[in-house]
Amino acid sequence: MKKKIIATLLCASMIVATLAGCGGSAAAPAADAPAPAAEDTTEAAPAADTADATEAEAPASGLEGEIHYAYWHDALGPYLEECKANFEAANPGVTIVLEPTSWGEYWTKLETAASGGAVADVFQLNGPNIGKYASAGIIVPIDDLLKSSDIDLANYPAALLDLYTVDSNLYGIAMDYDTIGLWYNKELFDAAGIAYPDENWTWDDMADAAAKLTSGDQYGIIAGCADQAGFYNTVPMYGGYILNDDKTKSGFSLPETRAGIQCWVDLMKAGYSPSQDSITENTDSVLFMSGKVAMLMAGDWFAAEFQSDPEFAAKVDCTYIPTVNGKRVSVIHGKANCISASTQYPETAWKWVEYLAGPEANEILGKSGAAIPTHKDYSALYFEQFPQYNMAIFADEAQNMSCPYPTSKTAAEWGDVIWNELIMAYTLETTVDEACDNIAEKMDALLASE
Amino acid sequence: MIAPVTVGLIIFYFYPFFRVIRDSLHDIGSFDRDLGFVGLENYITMMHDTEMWQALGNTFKYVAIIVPLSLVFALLIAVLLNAKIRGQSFFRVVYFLPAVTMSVAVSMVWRWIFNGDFGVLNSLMTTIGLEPRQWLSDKSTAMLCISIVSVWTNVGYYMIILLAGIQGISRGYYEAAEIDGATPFQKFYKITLPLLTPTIFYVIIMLVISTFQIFSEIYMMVDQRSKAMKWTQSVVMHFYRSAFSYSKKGYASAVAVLLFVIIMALTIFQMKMQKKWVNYD
Repeated sequence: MKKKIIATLLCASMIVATLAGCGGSAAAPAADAPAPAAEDTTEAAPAADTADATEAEAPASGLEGEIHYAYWHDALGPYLEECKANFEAANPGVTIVLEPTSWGEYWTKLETAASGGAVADVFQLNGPNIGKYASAGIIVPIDDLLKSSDIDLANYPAALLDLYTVDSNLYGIAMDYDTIGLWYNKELFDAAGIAYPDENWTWDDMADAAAKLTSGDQYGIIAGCADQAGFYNTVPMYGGYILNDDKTKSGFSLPETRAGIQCWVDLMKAGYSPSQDSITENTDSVLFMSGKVAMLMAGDWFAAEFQSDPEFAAKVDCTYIPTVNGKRVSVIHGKANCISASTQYPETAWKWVEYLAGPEANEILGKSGAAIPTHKDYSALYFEQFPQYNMAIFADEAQNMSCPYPTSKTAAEWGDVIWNELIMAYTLETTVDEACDNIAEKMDALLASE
Repeated sequence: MIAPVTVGLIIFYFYPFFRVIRDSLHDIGSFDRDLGFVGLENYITMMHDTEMWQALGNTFKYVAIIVPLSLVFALLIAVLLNAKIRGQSFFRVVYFLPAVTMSVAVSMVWRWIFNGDFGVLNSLMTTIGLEPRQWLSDKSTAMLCISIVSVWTNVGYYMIILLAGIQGISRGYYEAAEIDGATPFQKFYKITLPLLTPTIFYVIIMLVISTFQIFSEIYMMVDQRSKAMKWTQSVVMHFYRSAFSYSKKGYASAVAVLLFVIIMALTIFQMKMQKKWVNYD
């Protein structure tokens, strides 16, 4: 009899577990379930009408509200802390809440928050995602706000203003920019008796050096699958393109585009690079900083990371990316601060964005050495933080040989398509042609749906 | 009195459950915009999605590897820890620890053990003169590595349940067997195993359900951008990527519904089959 009871209990718990088990996985997509609750609490807090009321009787710079600011790049922390302190001191009614999220989680978290209407008041966006957020009306255009502002757009790189213009509305001012250079480990070059790379280097010079620098567990270059730091630069150098100018067709069926990818895969095939698997598992900077790889094509953003290891930082330097057929192109990209359409304090949010685009914030950013400030009067401050490196090349590339970062409304989606296909080519599981055929087909379909 | 439980169940289980079924019949784009009722279109897309079939195949493989291994090891350790040995409670704690550790934390540590360049496993391999491998990227080993971690976390929990089951068996049976001169093996096969079948049945059902939902080990150990994702992703991982990386929540809901149907069918099948082998008295 007792056994029967136990058996019944076990069965009952199993049924509950089945429900719970399935419910658990089923619960996830209904992200809007907790969302209404979140909305309620924010509304219950200082609601819209209280803001209006205080606005009427507040003193001159009487901004008020709590502005949540979401970003992903850890190195920006100290710069943002300082900006927050200054902004709050100038506007006593305002609290800025900094919300950093790691790169791996940022986009998932941001989209989930935006779906539930609980997204940060101001958040950073990048090139691949701006079209998606702008066309869904998650962020607001700033054209009208700029009219009554001191900001002069002529001070910012045109390529980045273009990047954040969707359907001829500007949605954000880029706060920083980066271009791509060739970082190299001087110690390994010295040991192999090879002259350091310079502005005269061609792609073939680089490949030759990579061959000579490869021996034992040491590699010449990191030739992993990378868009901004990789084929986004070589594709235009070979005369191809990722996306055509009117954003209606991908360039992946062109032989020139494929050549710009093949040149990386060739380095991989020749064994001059750590395998793609090894790069995926450890990331390029970790491998480069292990001192076992001689060259890494990457942005200026690594300067700050390298400095966290002073011993290693002393061993490296950077120069222009090598040329292909006499042509040198670096893609230019920067992240922008955008204002949520659902913020309760649009005016305060704009003032914060305006402050971050202004001289004071640009100066703080430059001195922090975390990223290149976009305001042209302050970019030099950043380069002064790294006197030991040939950092001027990044500014020269930005001004004289940059190409805009390819993006469109479905860029986040075709970005994934490109990656998932090319990863198979870089791991040598398939050919570049086969991968590009698939990309061209899928990307064109996405572009047609825009 | 039951209000707190019921309200919780309704909000966190029943509402999402029916919501998912509804969503699976709608086209839901980025930012949860409902683009309208589409009937069974999501299910039809799923039937033609090679990635879905691959994920389903992977999941069945996980079940085939993880369920028997977890059960065998859990049973073995439960029997060993039932014996009167020195430091019995110490060993019970040691084996139970992985079960109370977050699987995310566990996976993080294992990820480093398996790392192809700086991992402990590879440095051991090279010390004894074997070729190092990219354990988590290699098609032939990635799934096995994930399964090992899953088994390792499962064993402690199910060991405790089986141990409780063993201790519920009356000493009288063993004493009678000893008088008849039974060996320890005979005692295990003729007494412990048959009388433990209700617990084993429960353990198998729970293992099948949890393994069909394997996710965190894969999420933590395989980079989303790794080529190995294709070979290792489970149905839940595919669901997660569809819903949150590719913002196709309608389609993802259809995946969740399919998983529910599969698990339910398998559980009903097992409940029917229990008459053949589960011994209730």
